[in-house]
Amino acid sequence: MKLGLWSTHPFIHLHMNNMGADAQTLPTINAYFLRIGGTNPWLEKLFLINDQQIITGYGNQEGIQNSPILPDTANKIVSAPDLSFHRGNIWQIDGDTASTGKILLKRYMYQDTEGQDPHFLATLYDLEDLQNRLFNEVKVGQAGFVALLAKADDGTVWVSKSFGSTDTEQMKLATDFRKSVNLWEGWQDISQENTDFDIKFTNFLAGDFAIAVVSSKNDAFYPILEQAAKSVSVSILILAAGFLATIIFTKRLSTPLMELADTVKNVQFEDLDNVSFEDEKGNFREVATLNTAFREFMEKLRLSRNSLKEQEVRLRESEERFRDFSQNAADWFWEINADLEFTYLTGKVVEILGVEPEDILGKDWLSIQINAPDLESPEWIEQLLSVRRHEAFSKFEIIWLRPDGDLRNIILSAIPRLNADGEFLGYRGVGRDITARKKAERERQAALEAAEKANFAKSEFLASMSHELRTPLNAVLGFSQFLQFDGENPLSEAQSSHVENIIKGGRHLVELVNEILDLAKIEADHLDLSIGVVDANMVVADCVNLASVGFVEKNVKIIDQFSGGSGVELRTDQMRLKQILINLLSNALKYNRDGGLVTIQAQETFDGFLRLSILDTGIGISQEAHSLVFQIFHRFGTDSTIAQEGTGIGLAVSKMLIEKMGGRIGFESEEGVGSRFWIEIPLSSNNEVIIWTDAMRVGVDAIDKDHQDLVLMLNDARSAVARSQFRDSVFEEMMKQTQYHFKREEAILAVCDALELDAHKLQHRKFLRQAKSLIIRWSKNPNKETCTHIGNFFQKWLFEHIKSEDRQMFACAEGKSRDIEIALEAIKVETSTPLPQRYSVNE
Amino acid sequence: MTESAADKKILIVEDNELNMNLFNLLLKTAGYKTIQCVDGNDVWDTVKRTAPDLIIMDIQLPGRSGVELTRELKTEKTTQSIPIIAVTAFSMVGDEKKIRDAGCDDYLSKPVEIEGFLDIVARNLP
Repeated sequence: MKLGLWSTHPFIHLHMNNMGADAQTLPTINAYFLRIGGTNPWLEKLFLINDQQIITGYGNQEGIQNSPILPDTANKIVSAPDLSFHRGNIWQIDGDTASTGKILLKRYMYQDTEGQDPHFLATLYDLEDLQNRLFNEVKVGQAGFVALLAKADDGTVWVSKSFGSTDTEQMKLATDFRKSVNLWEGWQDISQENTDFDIKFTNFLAGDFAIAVVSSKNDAFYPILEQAAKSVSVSILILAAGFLATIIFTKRLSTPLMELADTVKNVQFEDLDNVSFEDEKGNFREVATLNTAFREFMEKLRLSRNSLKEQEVRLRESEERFRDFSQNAADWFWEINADLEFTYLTGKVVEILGVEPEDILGKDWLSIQINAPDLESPEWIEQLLSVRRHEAFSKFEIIWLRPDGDLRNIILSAIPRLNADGEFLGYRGVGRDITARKKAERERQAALEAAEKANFAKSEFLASMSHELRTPLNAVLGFSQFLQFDGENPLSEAQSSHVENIIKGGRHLVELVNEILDLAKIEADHLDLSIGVVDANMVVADCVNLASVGFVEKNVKIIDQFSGGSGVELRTDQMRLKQILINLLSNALKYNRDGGLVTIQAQETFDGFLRLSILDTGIGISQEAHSLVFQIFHRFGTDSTIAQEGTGIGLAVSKMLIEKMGGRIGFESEEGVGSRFWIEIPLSSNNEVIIWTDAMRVGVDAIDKDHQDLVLMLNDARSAVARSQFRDSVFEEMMKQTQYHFKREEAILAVCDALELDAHKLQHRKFLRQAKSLIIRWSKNPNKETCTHIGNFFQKWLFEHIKSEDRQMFACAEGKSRDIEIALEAIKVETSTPLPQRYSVNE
Repeated sequence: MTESAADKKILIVEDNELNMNLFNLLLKTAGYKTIQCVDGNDVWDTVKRTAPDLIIMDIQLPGRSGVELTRELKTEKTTQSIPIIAVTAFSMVGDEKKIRDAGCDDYLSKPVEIEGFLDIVARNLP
């Protein structure tokens, strides 16, 4: 598409008239054209046409012979109605529409006094190229743009195909521009409601050209953009450009031309030779002025384009900043005047407040359905007072009653607007909808309370179970014992033996009650550990003391080789440690032979544990039974009388307890020779081992179980490596377990519609990636250092992950236990790879 | 079955009938005088009326709890010197501490062993 700006020039005309386009004149004119053309980078073509033919011309790119001006186009120019001399007109020439598109020409025509022999001086500018060079790279906001427009006298409008503009927008621009009749003063806002775009125009060059700044109302930062357009530089710059252009064209171009016209009118033809149109250097002054004016215009446009671009960069930065801030800080923006009436509202007003901005504009902001959470609260009163004092405020919490009855929690922040004299003009501020957050807070609170209640109910149940079982047992055991105790009514030998059995059964029942309750507590995850520094020697001595009566009765000797020695401090739960030791001692006694021996030995391990061993000379455990030792309700040996004495729970409980305390348990045994059971408890100096405490609890049972298992595995893996028991699989098992845990966690988040699901998944992927690379490093070079890396990584991650991400799960998981169960069941089925042993036990 | 046992009055606070019978039987057999009280609400009256030398105190009682009663008895000047032995089926972790903190002189968990029971009584008598 070519746009031409034609201007006739009386000088040329006069020359033509007087001299004709003779061999002498043409070179002069051509040389002149060449000079102007060479100095004006914006000039596309310069023509001299006469009637229907081009007399001569200058072209930047192509020779004038290849001019796109078709004969009928030239004809159209020539035969157009007379036009006021000073006003250059833009003509739409249909020309070769298909290939070259529309051509707009601006012509300056001059006729002799008889109205004969018109000649035209026409300069051709490629406005598309102008647009490309000046404005295409200028973006206004995210989707806005700057467009150049030109209007022909027949009302046809050319709109530059600006970057970012669509056909619809161009149509709209063209329509608005066409409608404009007069030269506007300054900057016109022709935006319409119900459109996505905000359009501002300035026109120049007798209203035939315009620059339009189009900004999208959908921009997130539209408010600031609009604000910027109102006050700051973008519009001013464009305005300045337009203004300058207008000045240039009306004063610097048109005025001289008008003066010329007047001169020409007043001068005799004969004298024209004496009328100097040349300056001292022999230049054709007026054409030079025209050219200079154009050049300056273009230069101004270019400069303003550059400023615009700079501005745009700055604006974009501030937009981004604004967007980041505002998206975090505000849902909408508002302004109130000194009477506290809304004067401006933008942003998500309809979406959140449920009203159109117009509905509340002009209304007192406190008169319209605003309520405090608590109208009597000192915060609310203080807030009102601070508004009265015209102070800035932030996070002013209100409850908004929407017309549809919905209540919204909203916080408002604002700063006062003051004029130069410090007079209060109102407030300008932001609003944020915190309804969802409030709701989540409430839900979380409720969920917490419910969980606490449930926890309490569980503990209550366990306590009353214990109480209710013991009360009748007291009578059973008490009266049975009394039968033997009552010297006045002695029993027969047979009776005494029967009573003895009742007592035995009763005591067994008591033991069962104790251990089942312990087990239930561990299973229900209600074991309260109180970890502290514990004197190991004292604990062992106490236990030996407690057990000694039974040992004497059964004629088994006990040798304590530890508690009299040098003191050792442990990091553990004293009571639970005693429980485990007593269980082991009673086993050592229970399965011992008459006249047997139990020995307690101790030794510190190199990796920070105290190993307490209890050796017996009992029946031992057969090789086949080794794997069953720590299983619930498994009893050693085939002797039914011994079997009856045990509950079958003790060792299982001991194992769970010691592992919970970061310790380990194990044994070596030979059938018929005896067993050595040992436990390892972290020394108080051992900081590596992780002991699961309630503080690590997330509150979602399945997740807590997983985390505990991971802690146990981590302790396991560390000790395996520390003892050079390199199993290739040790970390792979941990990874497998972790992956499985992630799956479960993600499934829980999914069924709970947790918002954090994606972010959480990303965290998981990241962890697995990093862990994998550490494990690869370890497998290439399995030593303490590479192992410690993995251990520390897992540990740090576990704690941090639990603290930050996992805690969020609690609120959303509440009340969805059934869904969670189903989801986890599905995962169990789906996971075909067999999981580590620990999992199947605990599941 | 000490010489002075016959002079000693022991108040048994116990709501379970079987256990009350058991403790009553054991203490009487051992030669003590016994007073029975099955309701927490009646403890104060009984103590004032009978001025026992020792109290066997169940914890879970109808009316008032044994912990509460012990705390009161140990605060009141006229009664604070009476030894109180808690005999209770509350034997979960922390129970003993809670009960001793209330002021009980001794603690015995149910089910009791006869010898242990009588020992603890004899030990705590003034």
